Amino acid sequence: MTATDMIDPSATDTTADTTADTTGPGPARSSSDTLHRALRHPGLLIGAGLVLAIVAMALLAPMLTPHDPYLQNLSARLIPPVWQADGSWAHPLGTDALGRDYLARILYGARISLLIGFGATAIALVIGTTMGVLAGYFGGWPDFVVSFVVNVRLALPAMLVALVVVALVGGSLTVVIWTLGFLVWDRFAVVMRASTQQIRSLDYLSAAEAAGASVLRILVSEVMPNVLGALIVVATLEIAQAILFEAALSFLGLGV
Amino acid sequence: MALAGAEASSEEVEAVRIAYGFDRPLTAQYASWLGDVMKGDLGFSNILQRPVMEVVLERLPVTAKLAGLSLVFALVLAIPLGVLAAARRNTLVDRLALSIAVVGQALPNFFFALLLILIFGVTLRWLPISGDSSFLHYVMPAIALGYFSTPAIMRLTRAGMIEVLDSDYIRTARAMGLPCRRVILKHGLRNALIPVVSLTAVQLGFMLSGSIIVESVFSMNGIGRLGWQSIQRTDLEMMQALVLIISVIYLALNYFADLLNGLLDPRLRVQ
Repeated sequence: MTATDMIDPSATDTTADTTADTTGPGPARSSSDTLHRALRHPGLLIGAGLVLAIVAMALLAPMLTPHDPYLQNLSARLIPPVWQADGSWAHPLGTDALGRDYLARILYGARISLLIGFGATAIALVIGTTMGVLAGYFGGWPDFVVSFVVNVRLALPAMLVALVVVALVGGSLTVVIWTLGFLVWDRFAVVMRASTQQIRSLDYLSAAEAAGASVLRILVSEVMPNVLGALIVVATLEIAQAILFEAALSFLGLGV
Repeated sequence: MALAGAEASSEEVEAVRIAYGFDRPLTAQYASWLGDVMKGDLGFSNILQRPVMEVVLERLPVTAKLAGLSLVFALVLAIPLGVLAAARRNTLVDRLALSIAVVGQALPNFFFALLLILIFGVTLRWLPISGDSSFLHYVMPAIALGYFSTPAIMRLTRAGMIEVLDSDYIRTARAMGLPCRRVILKHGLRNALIPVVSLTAVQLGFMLSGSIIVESVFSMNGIGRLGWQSIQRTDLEMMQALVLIISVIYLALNYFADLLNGLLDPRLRVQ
């Protein structure tokens, strides 16, 4: 059994309820119809609401709190949150041992987490999709090479490698994004390879080949639109994974 | 640099470099390391002044025990949940099982571990919060590490069970009047578990990686914490060896899973 079979069901399963209707390749459906269907799905609405709320909080951080997340104020150390006896609304969630406002730190921290999540996933998406689509389309030795590289990547302990790289190079935002991007592409490669293989033998690809379209054109305008559904599902999951991964790095003292 | 000391003169630093062979080209250093590994020699930790192999073998049992217990926890939680969710598809039970599993994936490992410490260690005082000297010390780390693997195993069990339960031989078994429980457990589960075996091997590999965090939180002296400590004291030989060892263990686990699948499913043996 290959990695494909193991990752595919779990990757598509969670979000199948919410994304299959809206992003699946299926027959063309008018956009208002799709929107209508989506609006009737409570799970999707709650999820989308949460995501939007978090993104909005991160973007509007300066308007939501007057405090600077990095400013230390030793005269206002360890203030308890507002629901405890001597808390105050000046610092709703209290302050840490250096007098920095917790709410401000959470809001500004969300910016960094989102940036890492999206940045690392974007890098991983480019690497993984390129490898997966090429392997799935051509088969033969490109497939062999890609499968080999994916297996090597899967065998490496990601957390340990990330820690080593960050420890050696130094923990800046750019370093963390690139390190994670180069570590989490395996799922993209595996899922894209499987999806491309599925559509490889379909008639419209043969038709495009027969019509003399170049390989690049076939890959970009025939293959990509038809594997987009799976790609979006993997990407959403990977953003979450990358954010958790970065949280773990930071916890061990080697993040941003 | 770290070896020579912070106040070493440049001559002293150079002497250390030559003594440890750091003056040779990188390719030559790598080739000699690779050659030693083939002979079973993982190198010598200059920071600890002990052979790498010796330190790793000393720490490995802790991690092996932790990973084993975590896996048992994950399987005991995930497989019944998955079977239950599949048998009562699209009901409240199904949703509940799924949400239990999803929480496991959404919570960061270290946060869940700290919550456990707070509840069972500090408030209730049932379990020891750090160390690895008795079985009780392993309970919380195993839960923290195992819970993370639960969602994947549960979802695959559920998907496998649904597929199996829809197949013809299950309908035959049902038509023959076998009790529902027997159909699900004897005829269904065995076939649904085949993909789970492979996934479990992968998850065990992730656990080795995840043990870095959990072992650090609970101060257990396994190879995960060893990796973190080696990074902090820039013990390059140790890091290099650990990455290699974990990779090899992962490959061995996958190979073992393939063999196990052959035992479970006679159809696979032909190919």
